[in-house]
Amino acid sequence: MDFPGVLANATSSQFLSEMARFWSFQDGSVRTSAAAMLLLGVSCGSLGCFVVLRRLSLVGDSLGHAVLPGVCLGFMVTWSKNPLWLFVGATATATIASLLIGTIQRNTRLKPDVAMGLVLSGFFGVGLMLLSLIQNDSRGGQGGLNQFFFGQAAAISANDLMLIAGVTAVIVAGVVVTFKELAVSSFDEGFAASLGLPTRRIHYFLMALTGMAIVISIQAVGVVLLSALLITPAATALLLTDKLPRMVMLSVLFAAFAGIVGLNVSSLSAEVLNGFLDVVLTQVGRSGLELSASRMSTSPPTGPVVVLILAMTFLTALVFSPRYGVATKLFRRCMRVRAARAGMEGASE
Amino acid sequence: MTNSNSPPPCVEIHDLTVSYDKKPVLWNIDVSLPEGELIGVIGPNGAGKSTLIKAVLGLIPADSGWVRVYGEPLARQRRLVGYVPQRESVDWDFPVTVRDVVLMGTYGRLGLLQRPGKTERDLADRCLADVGMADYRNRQISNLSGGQRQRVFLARALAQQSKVYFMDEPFVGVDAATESAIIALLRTMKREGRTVIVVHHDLQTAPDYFDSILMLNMRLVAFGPTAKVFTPELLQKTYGGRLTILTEAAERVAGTRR
Repeated sequence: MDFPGVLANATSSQFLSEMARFWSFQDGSVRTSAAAMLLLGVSCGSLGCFVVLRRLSLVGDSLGHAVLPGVCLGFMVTWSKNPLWLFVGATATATIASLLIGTIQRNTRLKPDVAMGLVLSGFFGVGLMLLSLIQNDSRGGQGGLNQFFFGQAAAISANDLMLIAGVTAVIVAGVVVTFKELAVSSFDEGFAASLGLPTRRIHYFLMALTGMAIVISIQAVGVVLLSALLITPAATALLLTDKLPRMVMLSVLFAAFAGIVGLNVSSLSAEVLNGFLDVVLTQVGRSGLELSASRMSTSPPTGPVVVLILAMTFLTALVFSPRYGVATKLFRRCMRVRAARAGMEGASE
Repeated sequence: MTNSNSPPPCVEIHDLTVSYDKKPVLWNIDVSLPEGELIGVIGPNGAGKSTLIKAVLGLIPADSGWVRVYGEPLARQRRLVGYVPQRESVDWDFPVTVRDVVLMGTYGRLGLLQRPGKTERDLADRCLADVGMADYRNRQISNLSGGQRQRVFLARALAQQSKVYFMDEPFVGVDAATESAIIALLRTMKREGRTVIVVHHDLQTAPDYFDSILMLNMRLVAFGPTAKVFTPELLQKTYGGRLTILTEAAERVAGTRR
């Protein structure tokens, strides 16, 4: 049978059983990584709103890349993925990077985007060097550090989860306590300062929380695509609402949704995914296009899958947002033209 | 009250010097502003008018000098001071409604974790009614015109319930209706005993609007009652060569009309 909409029977039943296994959360490891994705959604989703509204998106990206050398150095302390040392290393290089960005901006004529671009690539380069050093070392080859590139949420341990939960608690408390101050200083920094609010400290406070959120997200989504978890859910939410508290809630929702569904997809076995691939390739083949049939040998890393889901939610909002959607605007214009035409006809009669 | 020594001036600026990148923009500003007046700050572009306001409010660091509000350093008198920044200084696509912006005026009185409640919302709605924007309270701010945005900023300042106000170019780019609404509002504020310091660029309207005028061109050129300081000599001193062209043009226009 070559009905393309249906997977081969064996694959289909395997797909269903894998889905059932995931969504019943009966495996301890699935529970751990799903809880981690939920918490990361809360951290990155909420902080991302302020990062986007303050036009600091590039800062998120820079910090994301700047943690790589720190992670490598943290790894080299014990030659294992000890969450505490990785956290210390990542926080250290992220701090150095943000200080460096500030120093370059203040003391040279270079603009912020240039300073961030320089630091981002420089730190990432150092990180790559350290990574290849580790992988060529007999102690590091099987350490699994390469998972930090694109993320492997399934590898999140109970210890990692404890750290993620603790940091998320700090972030949520920080955002809740200073919500009003974050809001007013993001909207109008001069006015906030005239009220006597310590705007500079608020900025560094937000940056510190963002740095922490980035560090705990490395294992799940990887350094390369880290900033997407901060920026995309917040950007999607901004297209859907005109109220800041609602924007934060929607952003958290999108980030957590993409995290858990992404985890689900990346946990599917290679056979099931290859089954889907077969269906797609058959369809493409029918349209006359010849694609070399590549196959997966392992499950895909979590980072790209999560980012893909985030990108799809963003595109949906971009097109169908009730107020700012492309399709919505088009539809409204059609209705207006029709109404105007009807009005003209009514007047001429 | 029969007090032998006069009360401290509303705002006292002493020897204020400010520079950007080691280039001085304001030199030794030394002036005392009286209470209960509408005070215009005028001067050419780059004279440091906005800088003066920002430095007085402590938004940019001063190289030297100090500022006192009712005899005390500003840090202790924040609640007595209201501020209306330039309209272009904020992102009007920010996800807040008109009333949310006005509520920000009350944030100075609320502590951490404290959210604006019914008292604050009622106050915000009254302030919006005072500037004729009551019907817009649930609108998103990006849909407002320039004049409406200025009124929202004024309503936010009213919600601060301060005694001294600093306004940075509130009349720039607003429609005639908003301009007269703003000046009516300023006069009401004056009647309530508040002091309003306004950065202004329009020399035509300045003498009608303000009780006192502060003329600035990096240094303080003059400060005093409008009738006394708004003279061709002092204007000339403030604006330098540029004003001659202006006045000549004005005289020529007046001449052809005659």
